[in-house]
Amino acid sequence: MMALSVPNNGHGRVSERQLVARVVDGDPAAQRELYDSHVDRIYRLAYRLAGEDELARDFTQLTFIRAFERIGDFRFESSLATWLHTIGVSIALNGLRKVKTARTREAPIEAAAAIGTITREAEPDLKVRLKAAIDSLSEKYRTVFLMHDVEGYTHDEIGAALGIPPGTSKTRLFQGRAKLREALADFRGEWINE
Amino acid sequence: MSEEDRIDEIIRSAASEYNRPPETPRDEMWSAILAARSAPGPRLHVTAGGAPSGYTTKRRFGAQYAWIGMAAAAVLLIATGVGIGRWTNRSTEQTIAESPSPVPTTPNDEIRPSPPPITEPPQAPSSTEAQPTPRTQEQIRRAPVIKGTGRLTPISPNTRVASAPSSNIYQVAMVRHLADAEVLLTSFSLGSRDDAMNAQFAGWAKGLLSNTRLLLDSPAGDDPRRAKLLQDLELVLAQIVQLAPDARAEDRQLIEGSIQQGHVMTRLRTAIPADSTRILER
Repeated sequence: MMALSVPNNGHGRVSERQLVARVVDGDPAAQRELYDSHVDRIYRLAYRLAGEDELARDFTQLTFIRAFERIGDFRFESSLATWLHTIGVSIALNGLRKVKTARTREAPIEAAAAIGTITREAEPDLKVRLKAAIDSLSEKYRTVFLMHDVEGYTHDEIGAALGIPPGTSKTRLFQGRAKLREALADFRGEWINE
Repeated sequence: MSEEDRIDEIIRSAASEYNRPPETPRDEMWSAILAARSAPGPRLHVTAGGAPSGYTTKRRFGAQYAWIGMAAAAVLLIATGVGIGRWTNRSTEQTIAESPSPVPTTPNDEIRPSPPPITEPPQAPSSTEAQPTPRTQEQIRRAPVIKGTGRLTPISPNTRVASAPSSNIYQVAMVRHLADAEVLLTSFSLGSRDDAMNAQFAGWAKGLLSNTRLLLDSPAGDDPRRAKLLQDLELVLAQIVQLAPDARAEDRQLIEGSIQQGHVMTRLRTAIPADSTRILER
């Protein structure tokens, strides 16, 4: 699991304020510094959600473009990382919805019918099965599962980024995990006997 | 560890391979961000296949006409104001005509003879024979013309050498520019809040922003009071240029707040002389 790239101690917040002030003043070096401090986590999350480099790049770029446009509105009510993730997750989820809608319109009916009906005989490999299971999770479960179990965000961070209470994040993770266990039920005996 | 916890752990471990990200393409993305930020207004459009298909703006037929209508209304408003100003200032016109100094650009400017320019040529006309030379007429004919999003012709640094004719050229350019800026800001304040309008304003402001910066670097920016006005105008125009087509109401309010806090409209109107029509005719 990864830790937050920006510390939350007092010194971190002071330097963060200075950095934001410089960015608001239009300092190009400060803009690059802000970008370098956060781009890895934003891009990683965007890639986990999108699964494609091109989309992940678009989402990441739009996140920073919008952040620089609105940095003057940032009021330090949360950490800069949380604020950036709020923008980033919103852009990624909205973008994915648009892409999904467009692709569903174009996808052949046979391909759509096959989604979620993969059997172990057809696809015995766990990773492939797991990928299909995660892909078939609804957005709210999938996002929380990827952020918490894969990228290591805390429920507080997930709640702030998604605009939901941390308790809701826990509930969604619990339910998402249950759906994955159910989807991979035919591996159960194998895992228990290991 | 319970059975479920154990299964969850196995799933979590296997899921680390799910959509495993490659190394972050930092520099490439940064270049794209800089490029996108220098192109105002338009937004990245993601195609059905997920690939960006370029930067596009939404345009609506009705919105375009609304923009033209508002601009025309604003021009009419200014023309009426200028007309009233000329009518009320007739009594001072004679004094201005006799003055050897350049035409004042603000009503607050005192009308007084200006000191002789440092590089005044020996054949410079006296105040009693203040007829423009053919060269001056040519310069005035070639004076930068700003219309809507048009560009101001870049000014050579050599023209910074003070001289009355070139000073007049910058006066003309300055007055035209300030009048255009007033039209934009009036339209912006009165404008509707839809995406297409934001894109229109951004495009319009981009041209004016270039001209503002050119004027700041020209002799017209030597006057501290005008320079301050141009700097404040530059800030407002830059904000409008960066206004996204789908900007929130708060973004617009921030810009309108900047205009109000800096008293930009009042200062613009004050800086446009009452006899601006006469200056522009020259």
